[in-house]
Amino acid sequence: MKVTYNWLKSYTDFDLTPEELADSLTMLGLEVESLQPVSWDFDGIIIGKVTQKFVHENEERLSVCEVDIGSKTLNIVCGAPNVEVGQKVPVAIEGTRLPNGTVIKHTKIRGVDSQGMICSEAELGISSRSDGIMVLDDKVEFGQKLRDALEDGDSVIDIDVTPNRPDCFGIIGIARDISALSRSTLKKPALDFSENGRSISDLIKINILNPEKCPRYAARFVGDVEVKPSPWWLVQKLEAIGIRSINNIVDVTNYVMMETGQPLHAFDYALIRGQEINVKTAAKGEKFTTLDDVTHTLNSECLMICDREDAVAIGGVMGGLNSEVSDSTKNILLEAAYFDPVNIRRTSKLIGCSTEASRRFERGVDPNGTLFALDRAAQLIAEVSGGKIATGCIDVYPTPIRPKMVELRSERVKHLLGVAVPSAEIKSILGRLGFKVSGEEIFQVEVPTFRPDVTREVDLIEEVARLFGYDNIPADTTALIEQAVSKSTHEQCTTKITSTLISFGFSETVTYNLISRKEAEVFSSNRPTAQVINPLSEDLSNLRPSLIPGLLKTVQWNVNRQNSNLKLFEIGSVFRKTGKNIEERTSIAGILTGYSVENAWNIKARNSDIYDLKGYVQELLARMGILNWYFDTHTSDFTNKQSISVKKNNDLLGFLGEVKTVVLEQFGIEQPLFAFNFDLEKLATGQLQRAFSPVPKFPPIKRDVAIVVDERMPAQSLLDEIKEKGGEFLKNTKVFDIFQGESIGAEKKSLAFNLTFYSLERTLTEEEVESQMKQILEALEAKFSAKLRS
Amino acid sequence: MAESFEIILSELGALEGAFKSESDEVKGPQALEEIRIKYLGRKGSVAQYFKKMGSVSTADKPKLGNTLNKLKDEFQTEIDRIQVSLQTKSEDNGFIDLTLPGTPPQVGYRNPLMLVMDEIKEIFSSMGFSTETGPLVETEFYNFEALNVPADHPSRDLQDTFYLENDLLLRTHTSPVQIRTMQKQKPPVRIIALGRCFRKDTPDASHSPEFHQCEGLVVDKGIAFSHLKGTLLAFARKLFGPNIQVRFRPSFFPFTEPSAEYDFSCIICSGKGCRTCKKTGWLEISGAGMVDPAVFGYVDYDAEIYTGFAWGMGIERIAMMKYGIDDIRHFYENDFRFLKQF
Repeated sequence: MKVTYNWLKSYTDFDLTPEELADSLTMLGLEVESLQPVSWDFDGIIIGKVTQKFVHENEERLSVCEVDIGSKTLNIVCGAPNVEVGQKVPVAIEGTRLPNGTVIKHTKIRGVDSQGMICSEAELGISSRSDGIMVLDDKVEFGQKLRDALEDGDSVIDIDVTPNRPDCFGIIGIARDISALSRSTLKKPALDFSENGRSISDLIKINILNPEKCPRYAARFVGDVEVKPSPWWLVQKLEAIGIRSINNIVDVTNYVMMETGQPLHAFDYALIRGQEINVKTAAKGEKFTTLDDVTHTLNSECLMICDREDAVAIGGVMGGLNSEVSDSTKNILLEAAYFDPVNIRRTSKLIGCSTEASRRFERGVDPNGTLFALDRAAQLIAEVSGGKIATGCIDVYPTPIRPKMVELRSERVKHLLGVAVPSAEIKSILGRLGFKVSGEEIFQVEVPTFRPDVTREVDLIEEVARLFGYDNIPADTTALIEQAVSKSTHEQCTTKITSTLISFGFSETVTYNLISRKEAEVFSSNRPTAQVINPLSEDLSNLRPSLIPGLLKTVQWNVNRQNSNLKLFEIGSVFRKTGKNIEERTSIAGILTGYSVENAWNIKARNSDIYDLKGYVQELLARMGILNWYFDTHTSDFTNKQSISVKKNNDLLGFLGEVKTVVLEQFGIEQPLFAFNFDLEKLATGQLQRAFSPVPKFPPIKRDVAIVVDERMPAQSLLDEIKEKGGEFLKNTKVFDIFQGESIGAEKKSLAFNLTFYSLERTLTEEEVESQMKQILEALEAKFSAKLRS
Repeated sequence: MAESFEIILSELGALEGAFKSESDEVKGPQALEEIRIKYLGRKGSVAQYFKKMGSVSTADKPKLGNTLNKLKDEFQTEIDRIQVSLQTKSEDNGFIDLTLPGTPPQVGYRNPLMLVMDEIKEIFSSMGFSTETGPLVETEFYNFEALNVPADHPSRDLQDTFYLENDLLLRTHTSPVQIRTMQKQKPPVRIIALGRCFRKDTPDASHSPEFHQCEGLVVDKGIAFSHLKGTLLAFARKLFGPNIQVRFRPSFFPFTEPSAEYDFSCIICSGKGCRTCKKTGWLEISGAGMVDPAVFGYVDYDAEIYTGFAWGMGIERIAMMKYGIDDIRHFYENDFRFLKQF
């Protein structure tokens, strides 16, 4: 909502600079988004006075004028019918570029010299009027720049009016808040017009068929109007706040709407068939063309303004093309109404048409401000169009809406704000805002109907707080307490996983939950994915079934920027459809790609592989305190055969594996990539609190042994057997070498193990360990035909 | 005959001089060992003088003893010192290029958004707030209705919503967690809720269709607007330092009454006015207010007995302020060159 400083000041005489005014408005809850001087782009436009006018010697529709621009007199050929001697007019001199791009040149028009151009409003970019030159007020001095004559130091203030303040969609409403703050009087414009004696009831009949959707409908008749460009004062006021000037009639309805917040509509009376207005709902599927030449399809909820034959307007939204005021309009039927806010909103949404009028009606205009706005508009139309106002107005208002009474306890103000506002101050504040207050300590407050947002005691307290000043409420920290807050398991688990993975060198990523359908389908395991009905784009149309696509996109982004050695993870939500619901779980996923160790002067680079990832996963599970888990086989749509699952009691905790090349290609990734994924809740079942196990006091005995087995023999089988036969003192077994070669025979491999024995009670003897080693080797030979490597 | 103590003393002076000149000349460990044996060995010079203890007068005995012990300590200290310096010299032989880069440790980096979330959690936790969570897929009831945002009300336009099938939607704010918390517990309530939210905003430098919010809620007997001001002021000062000011301006939210927007004094210019704060001295943070009685109605709290306040804040906004990040998209791109800075 835009207002100008001067316009606002015409309703209340505050003593504030534009900057102070803007600050005050913001601190009243009318947030100022911008404050700018009113400026017109009138470069090269000088005010001239027409001193002579002749008919063009070769073209009688053209005039040749002598125009005094102060420094000299120019000879200008002018085609406008309304140019007259004595007028003050805007003159574009040679070299001027007009808003439409035309550059003015010294030229000959049909053989006669023309040294400039007398401009219309359209040519100056002020309005769309192009049927004549713009005639300035006689009081302006000629010879000066047009900009200097028009600019009076006014400022435009753009206010972000919140949806609860329909009253501030009218400048008087904003002025009321300012007057309440600055304790200056609110001066509503006085009504002063005469009626011509012709009774309106002879001219129009009005029926409301759906009073619940239209509680009030009022009308006036202004006859013998001359539809023409608006006077400059009106053009200037509307243009300054961003409203295009159309003609004097439409401009007045817009002006009064901006002033009062009450939308008005002017019909061409001649186009209202049967001299009657019927306010009723549309037929389902009814079509109607609004004055912007758009045809809408309506439903039976939409309220229409109809004449005897047909609809002439969509009530509260927009007038029809069929009854629009035109240059030939002679008589005006002026409408001011109060429509049900919810119904206007539904209609506006249904037809996808939001107008200045509908925005006001759907927030709630003042049902008792109708007649003031109607009279004000009638008066101004008569003034600017020479029209005559018929006597009386029609006002159909079967069930008047009365002001609400709300009780306000002074004590409750203190209770809610934390500061005692004196009763007298409460009374004064509400009074200044237009509320009628009676009583002491416990007030009976009559809420004016222009404030539909105030219905409860708490709403009145907000009004008191606003004017009392939020700055004047103290900051009290006594609601804060020092107390230990325990963290949820989920939170502790998230923190633990994050710190563990960071310590492993994984970096934390945050990616969108919304991904493309194509991406979602690869990771959805053939289940339907959850889709957004109204997505921003195809790229953000599905909820992710897995965190991996987001990580792959992150890899692509980084590889494209020459960072191809990556260890990344994310903890976030994943979704899948389960019947009518969407199941949401927290996942933890990570990826590993490129070098696990980068080349440096003292280090040789090494590619990351599935064993790196396996090591990280094993350590992560250990740190999360998960016990008795095991690896198992795994298959998925997006991993290849290098993939394994992690299970516990037959329940899948997660998996790790190499992502298929075809999937990587879809994400533009051309290097091997390994990923893991776990369900967070399942990792949260572990024992985060650890029990201490004693550190051995006696020295360990270590043994290295290399055995030769069939090359397809799983290492885990050997490890299991070693553990089984190793006795109570075998505490650790490591695989430290794998070798294949002719020396040990074809299809064979050698595995070298490092075994550590110790006891917590004593130093072991060499003999004990030897005998244990013997048992191990015998068992390996018996079970796996393992031979000691010679 | 007893030897003159004075004569012995003068001899010892000469011995000390000889030790000093010889030890100064030492070039290697072997020479040092020779000196040690010569002076401090079992048959060394000092030991020889200890043997003379018997030949001085009874009165001079303790004096001589003292002098000899001192001398012995002095020689030993000097020999130790020379030994350390000889070792160091030998280690420094050969060229070691310390300008070669160090081996980088393998560490991971955190997304600054998450760092800020953790910091906010930590601050509120220290003020007695526990953390609650809620689903991202929400119902109209939790996201709008129970927050006093009726259907067909213009306030729905404040947030452009992503809808899913079967009347589900992606939460537009963390406020549904308020309702879920109040439904399951009676006052006093003192919680924050952090997490992902969604609004249909086309991504640009300051908008993201997915973003994070932190929501706070306090409900108890006797909670007032002044407590809201105190809480957010205390928070702002813990996060940005003791000189931060907080400004509250009237505003409108369907779920609070009275409602406020709150601003922090500009952390760049300390409120004097700069480009970041558009010369206002203030940075807009978010909305807050006293819980609307209508909201209490939905969770069966008696609004006459209990009052409360709630606030929201955008994590991205706070993180951008804190680190001087100029584009919200950085958080979601996870460019390693960006992450590496945190």
